[in-house]
Amino acid sequence: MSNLRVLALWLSVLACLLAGCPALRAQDIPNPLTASELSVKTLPNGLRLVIREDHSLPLVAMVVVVRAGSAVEANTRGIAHYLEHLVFQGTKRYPTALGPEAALEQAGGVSNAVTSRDMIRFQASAPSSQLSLLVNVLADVALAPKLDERSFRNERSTILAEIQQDEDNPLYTLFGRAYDLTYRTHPYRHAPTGSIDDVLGLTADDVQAFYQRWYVPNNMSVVLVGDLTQEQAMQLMQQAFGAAKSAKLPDLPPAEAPAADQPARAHIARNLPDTYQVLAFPTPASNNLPALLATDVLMTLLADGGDALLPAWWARDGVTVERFGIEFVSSREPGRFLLWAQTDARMAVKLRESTRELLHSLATNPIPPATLALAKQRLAGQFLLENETYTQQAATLAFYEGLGDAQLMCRYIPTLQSLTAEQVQAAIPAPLLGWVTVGKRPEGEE
Amino acid sequence: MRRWLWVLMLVLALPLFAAAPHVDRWANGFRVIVLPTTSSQVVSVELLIDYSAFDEPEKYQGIRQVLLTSMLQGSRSVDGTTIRRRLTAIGGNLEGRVHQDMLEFTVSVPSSKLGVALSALAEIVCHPLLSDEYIQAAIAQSQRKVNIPPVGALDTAAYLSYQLLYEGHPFASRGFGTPESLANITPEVVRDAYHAYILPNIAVMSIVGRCTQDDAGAQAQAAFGLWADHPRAKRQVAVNPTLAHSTLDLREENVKSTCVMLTFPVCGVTHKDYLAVRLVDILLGGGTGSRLFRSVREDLHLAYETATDFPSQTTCSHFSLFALTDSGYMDDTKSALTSALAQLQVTPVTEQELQRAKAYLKGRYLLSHQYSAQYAFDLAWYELIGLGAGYETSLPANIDAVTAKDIQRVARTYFTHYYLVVIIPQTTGSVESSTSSLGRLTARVQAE
Repeated sequence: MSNLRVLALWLSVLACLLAGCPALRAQDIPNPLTASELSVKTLPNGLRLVIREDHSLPLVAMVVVVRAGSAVEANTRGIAHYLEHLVFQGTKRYPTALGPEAALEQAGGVSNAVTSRDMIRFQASAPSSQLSLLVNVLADVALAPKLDERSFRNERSTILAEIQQDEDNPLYTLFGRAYDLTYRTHPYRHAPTGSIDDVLGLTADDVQAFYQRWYVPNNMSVVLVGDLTQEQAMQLMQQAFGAAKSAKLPDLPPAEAPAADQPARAHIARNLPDTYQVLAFPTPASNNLPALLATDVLMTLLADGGDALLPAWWARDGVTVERFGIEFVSSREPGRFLLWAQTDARMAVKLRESTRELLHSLATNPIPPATLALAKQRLAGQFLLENETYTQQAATLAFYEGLGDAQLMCRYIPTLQSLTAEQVQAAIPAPLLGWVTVGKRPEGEE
Repeated sequence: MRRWLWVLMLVLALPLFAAAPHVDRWANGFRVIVLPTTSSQVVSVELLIDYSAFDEPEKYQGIRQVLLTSMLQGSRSVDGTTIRRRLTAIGGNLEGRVHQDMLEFTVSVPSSKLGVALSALAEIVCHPLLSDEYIQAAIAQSQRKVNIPPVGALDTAAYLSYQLLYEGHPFASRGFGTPESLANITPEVVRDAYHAYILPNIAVMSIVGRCTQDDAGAQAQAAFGLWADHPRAKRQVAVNPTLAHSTLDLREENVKSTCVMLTFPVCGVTHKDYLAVRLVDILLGGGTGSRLFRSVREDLHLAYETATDFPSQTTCSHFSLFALTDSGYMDDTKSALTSALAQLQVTPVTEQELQRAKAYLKGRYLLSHQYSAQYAFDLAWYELIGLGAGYETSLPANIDAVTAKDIQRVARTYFTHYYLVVIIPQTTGSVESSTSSLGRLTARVQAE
């Protein structure tokens, strides 16, 4: 039987199984938030403010998002992440090292910061009785960090240790190399933390210059979710952010079309019992929400749940896989769909061939409606569950705000439900841009 | 008017803890807690069963994991794949976990699907098929897990510390068993364990999320109403781990960082000292204001990551302090960790620092209850271990009642003798001389 027939048969069997599943007929999974629950306002200096008022819990979550991730670093790689560390090393109002975090902790709150290729998010949650403290701390972190030479020197060893610790993880090495290998010039190719050499080459002046250029209110948004009123929020925002001056922003680096030549490849030898392998494919940019969600659906079909296509297909081909997954994060410019697996070195080449064959078969076989419906329902439910808390909702709103518009979050499930099988098929990642292996060298490969 | 406003403000300021949940005890002994909340469109169900590592005979260690895995394979009328598919079709998930103190089944779903969640759970818990095939597959799965080595310096240090501390104790095998004990387990023994321990009279179920008391109670009754009770089997008694002197284990492994870890045997959650030890945990390792973070990371620049680990276990537990560092700093790091403890023993903590720790602990607890699954777990767990589901209502006051003297006392009581585990990266042979002040190398990995 040909591969295409096998896949078609398998998808049909899956569709028949699912047709009897009572939950599948339900279409009533709501979006975690609706557009009417959100209030979006812009201050005169360009700062965007996204508010969700809900009084069910005596808590509030806040995120300041700055659209200045590692993709805008130019030649000072690792600086966005360095700055993420430094802003917590003292601010005008909280001058001691880690004063901002300590102030929040003292009030029973928590804080976190995340640097990605597109943005930095400063996040905090606390009992709602501490709302004004929460706003003051995060405003100070974004608008009034000390950024002095001493903090810069002190923080360097911490950042270097963090990079070294990341490098202990084979998956980190795998993903980092895959980005590096499959972009030619676009800054997405560099890891947001930078390398050890990058960090050693940075100066305090570099950090100051980066901060002055990008940390302006018209390049920031603030998200507030939870037990607060819109009037309260607006008043606190005006007080904390109103005086900041807007500035002209530098141009962003242009998008890069995927290379049309043969897939790139790399092997990193490491003393590990297995081979870790990643296959890298291109993905659409975040301004195309249906295409992004179609990629999410595809990821669900391939890798999610006991009926995922990848493990079944690999088993059919006699490929044993220890662990596998797909890494796909929506990004402002075309990103990467990273399909990874940990296998015995003898299985690595076979796994790659089997995977490419499955993707090719999927591209040429129609997806049965019941199979598609299941994947969409599953994804919708997951999205609802992953946005259960104020903290999660604020983080997701800020993520989409960082990509361009927080309201995308409110359109997630409705857009998902409207996707057609053709749209999902069009999202099948291609071409294979390259692959990387870490650990034991795959048998049969030079 | 002003007084009225004060009262209103106080009522509004009452934290989550104020909502004392109702525990419904059924005729079969099953205890069911329902706590309606409105902050999201999600509902979570936690079902805990008082079947602990103490109930595992030594020759059958790991049987609870085998039983749980087998139960999740499916019931007499529906196979596990179909059950999981019903849940995943709505984005939900059903998971089972083996804790040292109990078995846990947990499911979270969109709130309109509570009935789907409860019927899936009831199939797994009340009517598992437990076929020979399922059980043999579960044994094979446990055998694979037993043989997976830890990866990275921190995990390796934690793994080794745990092994040293719990040697000879029912917790020693981490719930997975040993290759020898797993070889003794047969399908008959697993089915006997099911009949002896998976009982409503030693189980608690908690439902938290967007639901109503009546509706959730009725759906729970429809799913679990026929679950039959029996007297539970007698539990073995084990002596909690203690240490008479401190011991070093220094190992070279295939890692990039160096991990220095001190581990002490401490009390469990039901002990009167628990909250004081938990506050020691916060004082030393809770956030950026904690002593280890301030000293080991910020002042001495010895480590990027330094923290504490104090798992919540019922009768006994362990407390670890650790730092990820460079092998050249391991002596200094060990000294910094031990001196942080010595300070707590010698000098009473200031009221300001203690207040910070208390606010941190209470805040974390409150924030964790944004997650309906965590809230449901806490309620069910407190009820199961005898503290009562209402324990969380009194928790803030109990935390506030801990004094600086209590902190000093528990620091002196528990933090005396320890296992010092140091994991260092592979070297070319200069290790012993460079680590002479700590001691001799216990083991070295073979280079590939």
